[in-house]
Amino acid sequence: MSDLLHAYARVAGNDAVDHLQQLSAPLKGAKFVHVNSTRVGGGVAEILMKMVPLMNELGIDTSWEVISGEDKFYQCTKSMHNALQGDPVHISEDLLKAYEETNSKNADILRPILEDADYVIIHDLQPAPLLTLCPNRKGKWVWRCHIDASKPHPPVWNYLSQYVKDYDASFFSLADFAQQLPHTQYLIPPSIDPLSDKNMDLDQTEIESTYEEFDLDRKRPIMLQVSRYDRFKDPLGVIDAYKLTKQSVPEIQLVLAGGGATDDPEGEEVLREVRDAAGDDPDIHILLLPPDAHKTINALQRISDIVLQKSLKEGFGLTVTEAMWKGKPVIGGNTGGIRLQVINHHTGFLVDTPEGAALRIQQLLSDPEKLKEMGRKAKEYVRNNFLITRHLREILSLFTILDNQSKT
Amino acid sequence: MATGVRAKNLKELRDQLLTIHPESILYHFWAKKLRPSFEEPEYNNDFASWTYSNLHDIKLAERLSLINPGMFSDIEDLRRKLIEVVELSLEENKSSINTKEGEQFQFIRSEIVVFDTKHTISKPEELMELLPNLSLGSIYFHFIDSKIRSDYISSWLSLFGDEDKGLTQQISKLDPYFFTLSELRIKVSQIFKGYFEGVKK
Repeated sequence: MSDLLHAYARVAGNDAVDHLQQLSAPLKGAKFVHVNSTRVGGGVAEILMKMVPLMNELGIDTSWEVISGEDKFYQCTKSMHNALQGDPVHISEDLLKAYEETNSKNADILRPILEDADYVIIHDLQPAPLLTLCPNRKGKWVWRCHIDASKPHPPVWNYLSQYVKDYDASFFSLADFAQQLPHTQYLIPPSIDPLSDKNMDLDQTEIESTYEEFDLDRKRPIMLQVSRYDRFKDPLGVIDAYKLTKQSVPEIQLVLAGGGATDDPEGEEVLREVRDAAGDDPDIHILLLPPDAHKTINALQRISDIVLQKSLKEGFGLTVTEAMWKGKPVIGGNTGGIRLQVINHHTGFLVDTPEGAALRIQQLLSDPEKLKEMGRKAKEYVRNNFLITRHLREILSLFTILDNQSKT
Repeated sequence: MATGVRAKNLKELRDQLLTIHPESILYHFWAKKLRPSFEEPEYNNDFASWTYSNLHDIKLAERLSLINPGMFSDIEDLRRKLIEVVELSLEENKSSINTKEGEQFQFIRSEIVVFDTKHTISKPEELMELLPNLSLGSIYFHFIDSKIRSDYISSWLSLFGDEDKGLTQQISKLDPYFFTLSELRIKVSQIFKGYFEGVKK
């Protein structure tokens, strides 16, 4: 076993790695391609950054391709993203044309790789049309939807489903997100990598320096939300919860740590709204971090007392998993993939309002033993359910099933 | 696997039960045991748990929880029993509560992927040592899933002729429905230990 696989076995257990080896043995030498729309920023890029090397380590010839486009393409895909999450967005013909043309241009570049691949996973809606643009494909193609598509805006879903329906299968994080499609829809939640900069153990000095770097008082409690500046992440609701908490816990500090993703054009506008809402409160720290600030986020999660993810819609919420892995209970919005991770009263609390969040923050701050115990359970819950080894095992199982189906 | 089939109230649950794939019915009776849980399960199957948590109908939850799938050799008989219990409740309660978004009953199916544990034994006595350390997934596969489909473990034990007939009978009689997987592992370990220690005496 290689050093890397040994390292995963130490965290996830020998069986977890043995299962991956059993599943990958028949796929050795096969060409496997992942396609998404950004190499940095956001959960999909973070997952692929670690999953692709792990797949190669297991002997599967895996590559990661990224499509790119101009402003109009990203405006269109952001609108589609919002529409899949339920916003009644109208997307103009002009933007749809940019979506189709961008996919067509990217297909011209990627076609030789994609048509030659044995297995392809297309991540999310941005590159979804690539399947129809690769008519001589020989492999199995699967569409991965990372978004909370439980109640998509019908005109937009109808448009997208023309591209999605011909895939061999698709997979979603939760059954709630599945749609009526003519192929099998698998349920595979995402994961974190315990060995990544974002999640690895840090030296105490590295953790301690974070207080100084961001002018935080180590003697006072810290509440944290790590998220892109996106309305569905409800940063304004977090500020409301902070303000309500401040009335009874005046020493509380809030850190909102976010960055942009190259495929998200709305971030700057939301950041302005957040800064306006924070006003001149010196205890609200709004951080705009570069996409490679993984160790900084790791340290911020470790120095925080409570982590929030008060999303209004959430496909999964990897920041929830990350915080739980660091032994922090999470106060999460009662929605989507957060429900899968935050087991109410065990690994954190599910809330529907800023008032609910403020109540749970105060409850946990007043009971350090409970806070510690919930954090311990949260970490074990992630170890058993949301590490990359389980995630890859399920993806490889999916392709094994597809291969077996075509043999029979 | 998602089936895309959902129910937001009891009437819809009944309607979907009429046609849902039989593997989905089995999944909702048994797969709960494989899911992580911090609490002792209040009810033994997903139908009962959903009725209790989302429709707040304790009476129906108790009735559904009492349906033991191990008592039905034909999955269609199990389906009929489920529908009968749900219809009885529909007759008793004319008003049907609609669940909130995100709380619908989602019909799911599964496919089992089997891994080699690298543990091999050549006679039943060796299971006595192995069982307490087997993974819960392995316990599920050998004592629940295989039992539903082919009763693999009893078939394997029968290969040894009448010598261990008493053990085969005890394992065949064991009803796993009311145990968690950890409890089931203890229970089967006790059966093997008790049997072989008795044999030695």
